[in-house]
Amino acid sequence: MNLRLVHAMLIGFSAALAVLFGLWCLNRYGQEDGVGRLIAAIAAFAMSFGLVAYDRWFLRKTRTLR
Amino acid sequence: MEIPYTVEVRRDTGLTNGKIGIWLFLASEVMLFGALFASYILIRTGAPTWPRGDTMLNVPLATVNTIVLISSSVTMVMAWASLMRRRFETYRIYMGLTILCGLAFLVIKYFEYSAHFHEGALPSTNNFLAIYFTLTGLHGLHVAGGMAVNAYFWGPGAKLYKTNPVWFTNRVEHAGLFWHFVDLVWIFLFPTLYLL
Repeated sequence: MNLRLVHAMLIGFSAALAVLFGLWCLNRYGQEDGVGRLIAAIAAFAMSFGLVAYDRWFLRKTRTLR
Repeated sequence: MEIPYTVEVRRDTGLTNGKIGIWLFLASEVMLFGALFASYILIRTGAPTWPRGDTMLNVPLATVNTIVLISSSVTMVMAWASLMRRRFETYRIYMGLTILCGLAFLVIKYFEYSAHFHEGALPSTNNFLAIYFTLTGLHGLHVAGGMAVNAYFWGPGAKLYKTNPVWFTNRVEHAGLFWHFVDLVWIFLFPTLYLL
């Protein structure tokens, strides 16, 4: 397994973490006042989409690096 | 004496010796952190009460640190990709950014630790803080070690590129594998300690 695949795997885990963090923020938002947690949740979900898009781009761009 | 299989792969393993070495090392690291994670689970499940991480720790700072580390993995892989495409100057820029990200992570961690110590929250205070300082402290040492290796390959170690670019690229890939392992450990540490 080379660095290219390890990086793609790490970004996949990062995207999953962003989803988990977004869910955690939503959970806290339901228990506390203020919209800070809601904004953080939306940012986390957007980050998750961004990471998945980056992962696809990275794998396509580095297809020749083995 | 020449070191064998630095560039060409061994026929029996299908890998260079360096890559076998780094994967064996990472396997031992998985056992080290795995044992500590197992200790955390045992201590937590055996405790009558357990504090919620976000009530004792600074989640916003840790979130910033998570973003910094993920960014550093991107710059690290770009550094390696630059070498694969024989763009040495681009490699230097990306490797420099990786080192700066590592430094930023440690500076943020220093502020986090300082705030805990200022509040009297020490490893001896309770089991949660004991395992928190053990896991994050060991992880911080790994970040510092990875930074030292990266700084060597950014500075004096880069001389090898002139004489043997393929060997140098392989070495940077091995450093990158270690750096990604350190990032992966944080991706598990962050939710375990701060969120759950």
